[in-house]
Amino acid sequence: MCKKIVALLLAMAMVFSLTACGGGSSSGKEGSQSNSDELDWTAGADAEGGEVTIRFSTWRKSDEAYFQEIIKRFEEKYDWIDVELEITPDASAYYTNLQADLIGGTAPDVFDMHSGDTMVTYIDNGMIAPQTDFDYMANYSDTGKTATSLDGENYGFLIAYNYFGLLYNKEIFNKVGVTAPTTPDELVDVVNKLRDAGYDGIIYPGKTNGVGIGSAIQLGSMGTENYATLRKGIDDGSVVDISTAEGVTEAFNTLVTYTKNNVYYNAYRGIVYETGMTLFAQEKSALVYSGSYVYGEQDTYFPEIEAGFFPIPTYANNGLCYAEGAQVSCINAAGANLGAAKLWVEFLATPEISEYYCSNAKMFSTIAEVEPQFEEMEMIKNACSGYAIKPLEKFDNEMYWMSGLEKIYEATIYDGTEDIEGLIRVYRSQLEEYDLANQ
Amino acid sequence: MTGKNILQIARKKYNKKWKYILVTLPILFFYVLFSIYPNLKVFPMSFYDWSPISSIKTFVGWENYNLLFNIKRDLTVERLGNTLMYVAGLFVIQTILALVLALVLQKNTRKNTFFRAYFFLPMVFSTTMVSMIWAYMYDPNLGIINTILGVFGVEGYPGTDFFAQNAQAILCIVFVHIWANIGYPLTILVSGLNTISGDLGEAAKIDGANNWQTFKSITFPLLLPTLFRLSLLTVTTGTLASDYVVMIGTRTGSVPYETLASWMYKSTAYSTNYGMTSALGVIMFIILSIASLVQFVAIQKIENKILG
Repeated sequence: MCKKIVALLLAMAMVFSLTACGGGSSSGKEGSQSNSDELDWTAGADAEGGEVTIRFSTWRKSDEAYFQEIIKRFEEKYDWIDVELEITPDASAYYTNLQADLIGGTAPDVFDMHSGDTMVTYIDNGMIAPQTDFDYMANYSDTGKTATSLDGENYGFLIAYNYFGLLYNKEIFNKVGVTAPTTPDELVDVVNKLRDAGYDGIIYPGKTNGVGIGSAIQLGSMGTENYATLRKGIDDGSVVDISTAEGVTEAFNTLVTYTKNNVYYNAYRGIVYETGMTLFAQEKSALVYSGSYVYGEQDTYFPEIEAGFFPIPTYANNGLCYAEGAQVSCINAAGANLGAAKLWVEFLATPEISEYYCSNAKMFSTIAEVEPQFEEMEMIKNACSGYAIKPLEKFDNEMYWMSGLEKIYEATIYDGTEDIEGLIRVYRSQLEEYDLANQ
Repeated sequence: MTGKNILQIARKKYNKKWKYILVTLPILFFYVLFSIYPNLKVFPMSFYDWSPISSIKTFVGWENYNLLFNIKRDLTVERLGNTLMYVAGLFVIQTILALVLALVLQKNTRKNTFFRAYFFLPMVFSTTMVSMIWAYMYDPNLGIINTILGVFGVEGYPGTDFFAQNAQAILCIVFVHIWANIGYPLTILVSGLNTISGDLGEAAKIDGANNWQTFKSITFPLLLPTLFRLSLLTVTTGTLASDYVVMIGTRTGSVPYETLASWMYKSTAYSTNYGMTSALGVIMFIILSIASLVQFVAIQKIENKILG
């Protein structure tokens, strides 16, 4: 018995001592964003320092040939720098590797990211070098800045952006005698006519996109500024009743209308992106929800189909498209050759390279006055009255409010819950309980 | 025996003991360093707000547990429920199936040896490969299961998402888990059956017992120790199983059939809130410890009662 007590006491002592060890490096909660002045931007910036190699990573396997061409041109211009291209085609595996490399100090000098939460976390921890003073900023569009800037600093170069909406099979539309709809009710009518002709509803890859269509419709209904203001307001506790924000009710009503009228393809919650494109290619349906970047991969996904594009109609009735950044090139703040990395990003942002990349990948440029040349460009642009892009956002209380908001999307997209006021009321009481203004 | 002899024997025993300790010391060192220490380290880590990509650690007390039990209560409860369903499904179905197969394939004939190898075969496939194959087979619109059911005119097929409901999704994943791993419990049970003396069965038959009575009164009680050890393993494996859940749903964002283990894995791989992940690890450790302890005590009591 005595031995057992001694063993228990020793175990407790060990755990206690470990608890004490864990706090060794504790400090305040504020982040440690990189300061541009403290970084050595001269390393690898000129030929005097000798030859250097920088690593550039991305998940864009379909753009490998374009990147190889850009690297060739870059190495011709800056002959002391070699660029090693590292591609991990699966985006989730790409992020797992990137995080492990960042922790282990072996991350590439320049790495691509999506504009979003992970990028904010890395910025917060000083892992991404600011690019605010870079030359390209003079030509960088507001669209780019919205997706890559935080608290007045710019942390990456968004090489391109895409419109999100519905791709439709022009041949089937002509055969059935329908045209691209502009209101939710028209879209319901179009889907019904297509169903009567033997085609299924809108292919929504719900499994890959999650509540993506919810964000798309909300951004399309509200516009970037109202969307950002609402989310900031929820986060700082100044907004508890989200129905007061412009476009919110219209967005949820749109989602409910679509679900209630069964406009989507069979079992859309279980559809992954590739399956969705296969079903579209097989002409099981004439409509698929996707980003316009898919035109760059048309030979892979739907080579035989002539596809049109229109924004998802909403009750806001503003014709706005939801737009999303493609990939943001970020500089590893701990990289050994920051000067060379800077030259690479500046090179990516030159008008010639921007036009070359966007024209081939069939995306839209973030550099002022660069008009990429690809067949579908005018058609996509003309289909939308404008676009709303998701901003780079940093929140302090996200863990309290984000899942509740997503639950409303899920209820409207997947369950078609009509009691939107009830959902918003429940959400309001949650926000009031959390009292985020005083967190 | 003289005093000198006693001293020599004692010295020999003493030397032998230290030899064993010396031999195990290197491996013990690495075991403590890479297994025990990191596991214990999770306890203090759960009281901090920290990220592996930052050197900043902030002591937040019970905040990470508050996050799991209050702020994310719905998620925690749902995933705990999924975990329990997973364990229960695995425990019941796998144990019964393995027992039936072991009884059928017990004798060492050429045919049985072939089938034992056949059932063991999926164990050599990688989890990723198995998960990908089954994920495609389960696809609601293009998967072979939906297609075949559709060909036979079953209403709603193709077009049925097997993963739309928690219980159904968990059952589908458990099925894959069992398909891929049935070889392991099968091998253990066949070995267990082969340790039971054939004389007992023959004696029972001479006394007029039929197959069921022989199984119920002789085979099953004597196999219980093996089954109990197996159940301990199954519960632990089921609770910690994240691979099939993660990989079958690998191309998904949030999935309704997430378990505690897959949640922990995803939090580690894609999130940077390691404090919450550590708290989740501690909770799983406590649940598993209690479950194992209860099982262990129950096994001891039942074994003592049945086997005397």
